[in-house]
Amino acid sequence: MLAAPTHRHGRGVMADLDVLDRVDIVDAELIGALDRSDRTGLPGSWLLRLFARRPDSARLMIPMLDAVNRGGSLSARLKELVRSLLAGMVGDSYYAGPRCRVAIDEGVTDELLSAARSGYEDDPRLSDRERLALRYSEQIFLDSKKVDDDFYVELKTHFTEAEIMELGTFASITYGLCVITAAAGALPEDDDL
Amino acid sequence: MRAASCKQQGLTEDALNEAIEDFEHSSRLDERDRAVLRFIGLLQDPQEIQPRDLDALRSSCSREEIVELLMVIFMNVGMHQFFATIDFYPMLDPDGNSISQAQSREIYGVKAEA
Repeated sequence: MLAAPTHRHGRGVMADLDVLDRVDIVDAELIGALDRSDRTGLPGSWLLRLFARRPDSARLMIPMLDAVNRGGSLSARLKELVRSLLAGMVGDSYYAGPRCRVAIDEGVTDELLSAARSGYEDDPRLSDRERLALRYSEQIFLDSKKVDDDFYVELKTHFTEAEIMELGTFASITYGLCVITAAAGALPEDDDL
Repeated sequence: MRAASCKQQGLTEDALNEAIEDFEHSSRLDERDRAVLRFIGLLQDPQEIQPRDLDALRSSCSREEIVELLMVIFMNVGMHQFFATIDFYPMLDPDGNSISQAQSREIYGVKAEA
């Protein structure tokens, strides 16, 4: 059971020291990414202002983050459920709650995401397809050996091969983001500072 | 070892293996290497990382280097576990030559399972 993360560092161990203020960011691509993040909720202002410390690297990552968060064919709701589950697995507060504007507009709530983190197998609000996606995303990082050929056969009853690769890639990138935002102690409200 | 630039700088498979297996006692690594590897070890449970852990990293790395390290971590920490589930292997052999997945599995799969 994964409880909603509550972070132990207040505003976070690195939030004050390592994130640039918006006014100090002059790179046009980073400013564009911040504007898109304000409109969509992703990948988050705090994260982009952290990456802005290394603008050359950040410019390479922004298209990838845009693609995994807003591209592809999987729904915003499904990605939000997976994002929240993975955040809960590593105790990350930054990505645990409702974040994607499209998903929120489609009815994703804090309560639904709490179910994704702590009891998705039994929650009637989730479809079989969503439960399977959550199980897949969870097992990759809990015990990847359990994601065997039989697991992929089951996935193909609900997803195309392209969707499975999209889901696996999304989960991989998102898990990595949750690890570093958890390590830094970032909070959702840090986006507003 | 994957990056050609690392080979050119003298990094060897032996040094990499030491870094993975016993980095605290490896004479091939310096204190800065060890500080980074200690921090990465803490990411097994990232929510338990404390300000003192980052202070330790700051003693060896600048703020910009720490951000760069976080970028490397987020790109790699999840992706390799996903790759493991789909039997995806490196597309280059240890000498940097392009190889098929079957060839790569022979080289890296056996090593990974050993």
